[in-house]
Amino acid sequence: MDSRHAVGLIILGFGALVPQGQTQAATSRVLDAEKAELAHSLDQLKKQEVPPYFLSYEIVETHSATVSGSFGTLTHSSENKRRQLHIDLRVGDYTLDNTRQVRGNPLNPVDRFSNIPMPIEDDPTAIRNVLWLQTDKKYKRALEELTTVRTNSQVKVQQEDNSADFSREPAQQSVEAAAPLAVDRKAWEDKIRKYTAPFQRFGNLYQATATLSANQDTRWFVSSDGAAIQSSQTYYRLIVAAFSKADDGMELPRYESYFSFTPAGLPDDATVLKAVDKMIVDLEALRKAPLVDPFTGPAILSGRATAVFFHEVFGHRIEGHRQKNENEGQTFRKMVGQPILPDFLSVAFDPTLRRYAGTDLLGSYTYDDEGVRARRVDAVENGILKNFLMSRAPIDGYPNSNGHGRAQPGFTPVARQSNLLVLNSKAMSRSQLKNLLLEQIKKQDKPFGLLFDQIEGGFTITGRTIPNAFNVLPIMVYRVYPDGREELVRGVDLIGTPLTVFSKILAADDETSVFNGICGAESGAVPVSATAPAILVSQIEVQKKPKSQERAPILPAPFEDK
Amino acid sequence: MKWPLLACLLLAGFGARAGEDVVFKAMQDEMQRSIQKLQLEKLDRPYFISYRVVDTQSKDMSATLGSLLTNSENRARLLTVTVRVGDYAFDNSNFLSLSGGGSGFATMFAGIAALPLDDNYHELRRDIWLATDGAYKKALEDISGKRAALQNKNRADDIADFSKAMPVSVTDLAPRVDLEGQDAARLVRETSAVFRQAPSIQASQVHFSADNRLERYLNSEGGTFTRLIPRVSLRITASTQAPDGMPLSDFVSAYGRTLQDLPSEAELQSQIRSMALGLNKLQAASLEDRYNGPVLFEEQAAAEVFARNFAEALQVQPSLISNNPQLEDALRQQQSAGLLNKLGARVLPDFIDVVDDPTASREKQTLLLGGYKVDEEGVVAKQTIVVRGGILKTVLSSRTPVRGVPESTGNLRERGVAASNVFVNADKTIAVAELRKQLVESAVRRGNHFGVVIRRLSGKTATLAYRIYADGHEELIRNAELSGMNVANFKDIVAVSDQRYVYTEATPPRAAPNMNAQIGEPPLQSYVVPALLFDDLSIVKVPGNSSKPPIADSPLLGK
Repeated sequence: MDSRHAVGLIILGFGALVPQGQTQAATSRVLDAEKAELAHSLDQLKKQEVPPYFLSYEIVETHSATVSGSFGTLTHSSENKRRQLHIDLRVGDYTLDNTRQVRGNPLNPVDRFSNIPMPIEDDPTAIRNVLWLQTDKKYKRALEELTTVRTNSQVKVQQEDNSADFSREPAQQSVEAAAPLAVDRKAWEDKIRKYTAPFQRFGNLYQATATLSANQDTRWFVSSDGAAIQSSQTYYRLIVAAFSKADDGMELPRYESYFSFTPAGLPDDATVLKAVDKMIVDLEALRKAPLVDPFTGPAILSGRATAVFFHEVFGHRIEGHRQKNENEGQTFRKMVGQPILPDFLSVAFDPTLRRYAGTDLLGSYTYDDEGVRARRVDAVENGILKNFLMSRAPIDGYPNSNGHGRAQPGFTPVARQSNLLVLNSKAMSRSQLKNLLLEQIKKQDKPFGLLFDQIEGGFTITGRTIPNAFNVLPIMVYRVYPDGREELVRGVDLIGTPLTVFSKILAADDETSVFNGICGAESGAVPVSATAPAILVSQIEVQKKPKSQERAPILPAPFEDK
Repeated sequence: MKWPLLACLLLAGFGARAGEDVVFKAMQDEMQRSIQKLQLEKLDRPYFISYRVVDTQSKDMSATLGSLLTNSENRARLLTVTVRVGDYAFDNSNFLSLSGGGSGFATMFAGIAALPLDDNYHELRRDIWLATDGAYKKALEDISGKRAALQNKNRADDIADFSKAMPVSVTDLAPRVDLEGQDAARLVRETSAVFRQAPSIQASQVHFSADNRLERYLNSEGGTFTRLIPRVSLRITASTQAPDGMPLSDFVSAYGRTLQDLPSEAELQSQIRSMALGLNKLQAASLEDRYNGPVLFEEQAAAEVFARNFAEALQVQPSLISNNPQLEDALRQQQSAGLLNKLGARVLPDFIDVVDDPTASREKQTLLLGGYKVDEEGVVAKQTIVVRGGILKTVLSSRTPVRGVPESTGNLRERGVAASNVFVNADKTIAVAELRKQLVESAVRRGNHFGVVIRRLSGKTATLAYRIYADGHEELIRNAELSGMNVANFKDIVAVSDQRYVYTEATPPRAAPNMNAQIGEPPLQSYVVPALLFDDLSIVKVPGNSSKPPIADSPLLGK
């Protein structure tokens, strides 16, 4: 965890989660147990010389069912339930507390993750016993941290950002009914066999899998401020993945993924089987596709590619805590009020939006992991940077949370993205966009431009110690020739540095594509979505993909060995 | 190759008709094709291939204070492929390369694959084909790396890489343990709830697991086995702190082949009560700063001290060759020769024999659980006399020879060498009461006021240790720690008891570093060991500082 944090490497891949938000008053035994132990432990700790000024418990239950198959057979089928605890205990005060970054020590062990299993039943005695013991441990650790923090702020230079360590937020109370998990595993097992069976005929596919999974996350949050929140979300997903190999050893993957809040929202069998056939055709085409060499020139990024691009290049760089951490690049810290994008583009983050462009959005939630109510944040309006994504860790000029303190169960929350929306006020059709690309190719005197269509994800680096680059991993890339002809190619990743690429966006089309995925960063994996039109960029750069050195199998597939 | 024996036993075991085990047929057909055809250009062909497919069906449950903590079930089918190129004297094994190599399906884990749970012949073959291909390519790279690494070296040892073993076909199918019963949830809830009456215990857990493992094995020499070994286990742990903060913990474990083999619920509850009581007493017990003198190990502690310090030294790793000098040095540093250099020398007093016997199943009324009919390489299980008259006759081994032990003793278990059922036999014994007397006398002779007896031990830490005085009265010592204990101390055992204690535990074998990762649960070993009186050992207080006890009272006190 520490090394990942130090480098600030952020990964986006397939995956998803979303709130099921009908609010309904009910009592909650887990909330009651948390409240009782919070009062009991705090009562004793208040008598200590250095008492805690804030204490919160978040218990997250993850109830999941997963069915996987490969080439028409079942490989895995299981159901699992677990609960994990995260405690936020703070000593000091809102201005300076034990959680402040200790500067000049990259190896400083940050308490980012704790794997504390909680009972999966609601008995208060068992829950309280674990809370009691862990609160005590956390308190002792907090005392040590506070001593280090106080010394550190004396011996180091004045910090650039003098904001407080913790914000005051209204204490919320809400009990949402727990959304039940609806899974017929037997039926799912048959579906999985059916979805992967078409791959069976091919001896040059080395992996062809499908996974159906259902997740219910129920969160119970209480704090010494008086917050008490039970929230519950379900999501269902289907991922189909297959890979082949080119003769030069390059591994060629192809993925399809579907997400929904309800099982009924997943596609029907005919839709999936059609996509599977398309995957087979694409993989065959990819095996024969020519390699592209490193190249700079104009390109169109499809809506999904643009969505991932904005998530990596922009989204991660406006996460509030990165503006304060002195190891971070802080690309946009001083740019509020200035244009950073063309004036026809705006960017918003809206966790309260559940559905857009006919697709469920997986970065939706009602309360974040610090008990703050979710709300829309307009980050860029008409090209001008307006706001950051905030958790309860303030930065200069932004003293409050805007409901984006998020974490994977067991992790310490930081500011993270929700549903990213790239909004275009000067929309044109896809064919107009392509015409603009052809113009650029001629103007720059390039032999071709590129079109990035299917992508598998991306990653970015936001730290200061290594170049602040991003990388988008495309699967289907086309060369577009000056006469408009398109040719499938392989072997490149899209790379660049944020400000350069932003300044080269020329136009966007009128389509909107949604990318639902799981984003990994220092507070773990959280579900997010990104929605965007296709964009035209006057200059992008591609680099060679890493390539496997393994040759294809020596013997033919058993069923092809005559 | 023919499998008549196997086929008819499958009939008994699975209700399937002869020859209809699709998994076995897929293994057999792909093996035949690979042996006949698998060759990359002009490079070595495989001289040995083995396939092992393990079907696991398991249930795992734990609870604390009457409430479930985890509840999971799992089914998996895992293939392990071994491909050897070269010959028995010199092959690709015993080599460790840092270049894990490549990405994708042929990497360091080449040869391990998850197989479909469905008995689909074609798809099973696809996976076996790809895993064999990966394992073969890795074998080729390894043998060429190994040849290169040895080019400019004189080999210290000229030991063969692989020993021959008589191929046999064995079937051993025990009845499956029923995983569907609701009893497990009730058992862990009700037993763990006993701790609700023990507020002085800070954390406690009851963990139940049960699994049915069906293993199929086939090698190119003609050896095969099919076996189903069910297993149930229960582990109860509790921890707390002494008033000065020193951590205290204890556990109870039980293993069996069926649910009926576990202690009854009433018995478990009483064990928990006495464990909680024991920890309470420990909280109040005094510390022993330093003690040098005779120490008597009784009951579980005798088995544990023997298992940790003696039996583990019987597992010897073969020496590895690497193409990276730093790695080779590091391996040499880390590698323990165990008892290998003591072959033919005295390791125990002359009245003691040690026997490893996987064919034994009971000691008097008590079940022994370390047994099997054939080991993981298809070598027939047999009794091995390890120590006779105090002299070390052999260490335990697999088909990878070590110096002085050219053949397998049939002890490859979960990818590493491990003991099975270990008997410590003595032809000169005395009653426990007499041993205690000897202990005190010997201690007093050396100027101590008391001797030390240890009854429960966990690694180096004695959770139940007593000072025992000349008048016979005992005083509890908190967390006595054995210091400097090693296998050489066993020569100085002065006497053993006539009664023997049976103790079963699950310990991971010492896997050779070039072996693929361990699969599944660590194997069970049973020990039949008398009380052991050592002439001279050191006991110290647990070193290091400990965290203060919790500030708030336990919520169990209900204040």
